[in-house]
Amino acid sequence: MAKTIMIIDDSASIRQVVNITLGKSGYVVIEAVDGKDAINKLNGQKIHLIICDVNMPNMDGITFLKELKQNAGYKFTPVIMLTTESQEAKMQEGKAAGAKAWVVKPFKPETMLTAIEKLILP
Amino acid sequence: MPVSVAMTNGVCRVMIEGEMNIYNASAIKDHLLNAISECPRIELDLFNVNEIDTSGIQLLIMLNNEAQRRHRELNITMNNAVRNVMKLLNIEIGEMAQGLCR
Amino acid sequence: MQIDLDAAKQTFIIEASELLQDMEQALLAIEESPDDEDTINAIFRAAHTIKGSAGIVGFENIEQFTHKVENLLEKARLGEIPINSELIELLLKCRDHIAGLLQSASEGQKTGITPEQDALDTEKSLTNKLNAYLKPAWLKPEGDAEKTDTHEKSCSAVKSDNYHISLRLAPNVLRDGMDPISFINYLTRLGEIVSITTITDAMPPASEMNPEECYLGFEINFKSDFDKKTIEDVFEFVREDAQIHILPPKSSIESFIKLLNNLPEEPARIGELLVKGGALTETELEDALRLQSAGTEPQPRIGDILVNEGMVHKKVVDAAIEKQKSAKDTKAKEAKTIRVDAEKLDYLITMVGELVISGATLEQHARRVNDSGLQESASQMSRLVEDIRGVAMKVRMVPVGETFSRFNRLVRDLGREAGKEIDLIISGAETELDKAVTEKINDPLMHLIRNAIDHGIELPDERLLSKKPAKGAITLNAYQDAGSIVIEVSDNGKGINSEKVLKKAVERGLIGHGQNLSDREIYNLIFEPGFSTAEQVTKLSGRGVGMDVVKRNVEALRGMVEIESSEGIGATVRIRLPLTLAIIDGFMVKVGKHFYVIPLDMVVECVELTETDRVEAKRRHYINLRGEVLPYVRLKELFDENGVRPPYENIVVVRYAGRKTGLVVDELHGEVQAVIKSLGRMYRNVEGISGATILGDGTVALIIDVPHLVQSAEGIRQTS
Repeated sequence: MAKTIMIIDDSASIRQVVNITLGKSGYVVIEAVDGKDAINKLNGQKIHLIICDVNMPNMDGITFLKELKQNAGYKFTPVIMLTTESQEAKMQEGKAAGAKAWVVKPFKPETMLTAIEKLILP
Repeated sequence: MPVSVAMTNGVCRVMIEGEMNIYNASAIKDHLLNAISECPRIELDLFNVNEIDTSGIQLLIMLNNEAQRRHRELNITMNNAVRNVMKLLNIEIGEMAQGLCR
Repeated sequence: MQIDLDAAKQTFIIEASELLQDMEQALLAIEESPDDEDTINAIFRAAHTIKGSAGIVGFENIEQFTHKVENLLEKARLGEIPINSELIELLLKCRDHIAGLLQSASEGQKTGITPEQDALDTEKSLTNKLNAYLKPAWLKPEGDAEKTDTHEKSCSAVKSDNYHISLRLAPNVLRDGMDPISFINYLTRLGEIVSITTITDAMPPASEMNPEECYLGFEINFKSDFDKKTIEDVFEFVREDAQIHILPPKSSIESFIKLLNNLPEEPARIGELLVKGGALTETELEDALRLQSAGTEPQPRIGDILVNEGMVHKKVVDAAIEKQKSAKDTKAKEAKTIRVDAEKLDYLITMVGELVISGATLEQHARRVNDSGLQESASQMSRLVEDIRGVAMKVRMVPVGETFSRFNRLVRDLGREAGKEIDLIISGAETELDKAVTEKINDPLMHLIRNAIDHGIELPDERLLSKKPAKGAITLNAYQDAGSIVIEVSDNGKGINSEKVLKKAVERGLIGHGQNLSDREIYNLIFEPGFSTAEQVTKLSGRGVGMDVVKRNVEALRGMVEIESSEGIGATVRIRLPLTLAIIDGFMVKVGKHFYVIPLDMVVECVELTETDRVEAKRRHYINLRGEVLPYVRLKELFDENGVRPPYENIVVVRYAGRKTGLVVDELHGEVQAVIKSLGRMYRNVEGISGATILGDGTVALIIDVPHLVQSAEGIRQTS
């Protein structure tokens, strides 16, 4: 059964790169443009992993993460946070909120795939 | 609820279906502990488990330890999804009933 | 979006081919000077970049194999492996294999075919050879001078060839969404889990157990070719608050003692597990436990630990810094060049061509309306357009040296195979040639070089007998000459035996008995289909496709090929190619009702065809040009143009490949810039015409194929 992965990022191109890369590897990809959109799209469906940007309009990644941890149906979902080199403070905040997997932007598609494959079984 | 429990003549059949993961680990733990305190013999049917994670494996280890401590008979039947994970971690309980390295 | 990753793959294939080319050059160069660090670094960088990019675009097989090559190169670079001919041979073969993988990757991308068994076999045998080099390095980690004697004594390495991985995970890991099973499962991608023991000691009594917490630990005996960093990275997301120990193969007993000390469980119990799992032998464990309980374990400094674990050498650190530096350098270089799709360039040149035409139209109109301001602007624009044209053409030009240097390997390998020692000498490498031409000239050159190796250069003994140096030489030379690029392939071998050629030509029925031919004509026979003078068909050049194919390929580029030879001294094959394929400066003439364009750089002069010449020309097909014999071609006859003969006819004298010919035309119309449009397939083989162009006013003019006419005029002169 194909695993479902949600990508939350306000950049259409990042969403697209993730979508192609993961789509090619047989994952089902759901795209969300920000934290709020993501919360709406969770919708009770099974999500195996979430990739989430930190800086986003409407609802940023850290807030989304905190909300996710409050949601009984999703609180244990593995989350890969996307960050840039300069966001050390955000990273500490995110780690405290329970995000352990971080991928630095810009990333190679392969790096993203590897990170995902470490986190969830094929 | 993915767990069904049937008790007849001192045999407790516990059947788990679907996911056996951290989301339902607490609930499953309660069912398993309940069963083992009620019945001398447990038949755990994992045949319909399609996904098991570390928390699920831990519960099986816990059940096995508890069964040995309380001298209960434990039988586990499983499908390949579960068996493959057991093999990956080299855990021999249930079918092989050899117990674990302690 | 599918296209995008494919495009990336395409880019990779081009990039990797170039890198492989560099790698080959560097490998050949290092054969000459094995101590040249820059060259070793260049080889390393090539492998390194290929490995890196292959992974990104998804050619894992290339990545994995190249990774091993890179490891070997790393050791060679650090001086741990001597660079000798054996190693270079292996590296060349590895390079070829990567090229093969790349080839099938590039074909596979189109056809989806998986690699063939042959390739897999090659890979296996190469991998074994690579491993043979890589293994001993583990056995003898560099004995750093810093180590004290006592330390060294107890620092014996364990026997196991495998990694030992010890995991004690943080209680929170499951709640954080991390599943240890996934990480362990991921390990199987990097190698083989030889044995694994799940440690459940930390599990509390059932009643106290929190099912959302992780209590498990793992001891894993893991066989893998990947480096420690890669294996460590598997656990990067769970490293926090966890105890993770990764002991590389052949770790010291000390590091195991340290592991035993650090683990929460009883050392003896874990020790048994390690023996059971194959990480330690019984004796090693006994030693370890004895040392451990005796408390003689020295407190090693962090540096020592790293060295003990076979992980870091000072040299390695230096190399890592060097590596970062060189990566930066390459980056800076990358910024200076950009890769452009050849199609886009072609389009640009077509557009510039159209611009040239419109410019000409504008100038004509300006002249007609007699507006001096407009005329000035128009002519200024024409100048600018001409500049743009020049630049656009330049963009397509690449130095021919790159094409030439590819043959180093061919000469080396084929020479060895044939038992001949041959140097390849390259000159005029900076001569620029249209990129499209360099691509198409590759095959003909290869064939000519094969020929020179096979038929030209003699065996060393034979050469010594002729008082020549034992080592033969093949020279590739390029230069510009009168609007064409000349490429020469010369050898200092035995030259062409014209009698042999003649005999063969008669045998093959190419010429009749007793026909008198000049040397040039005899050599030209070699280009006839089916001609081969090789007394025995050899692996090198006797392949059925002969010099006729070379000639055809060169002619397809509007070029020409000729041979010069002197027996016992050597032979030269000279290829003449047009400077560019797209736009020419032309000289426009009118014959009958139609316009023709003659490439300007071949035009020498224009002279009037005098009445005397006309009369004489009835008898013979040449005129006397200031005492010189000038054969000529009457274009009107050649192209079947009608119309009355004008009172004055003109001769345009053209020169090609050192020979002059006159073209008789009706009217001279001066210089034009002509954008060459190829003729449709139907007209491609029309004699004497090489293309067409559209003039400023929209009329079509045909472009005269001067090389061809020069040759046929020559023929006419000789037969008459």
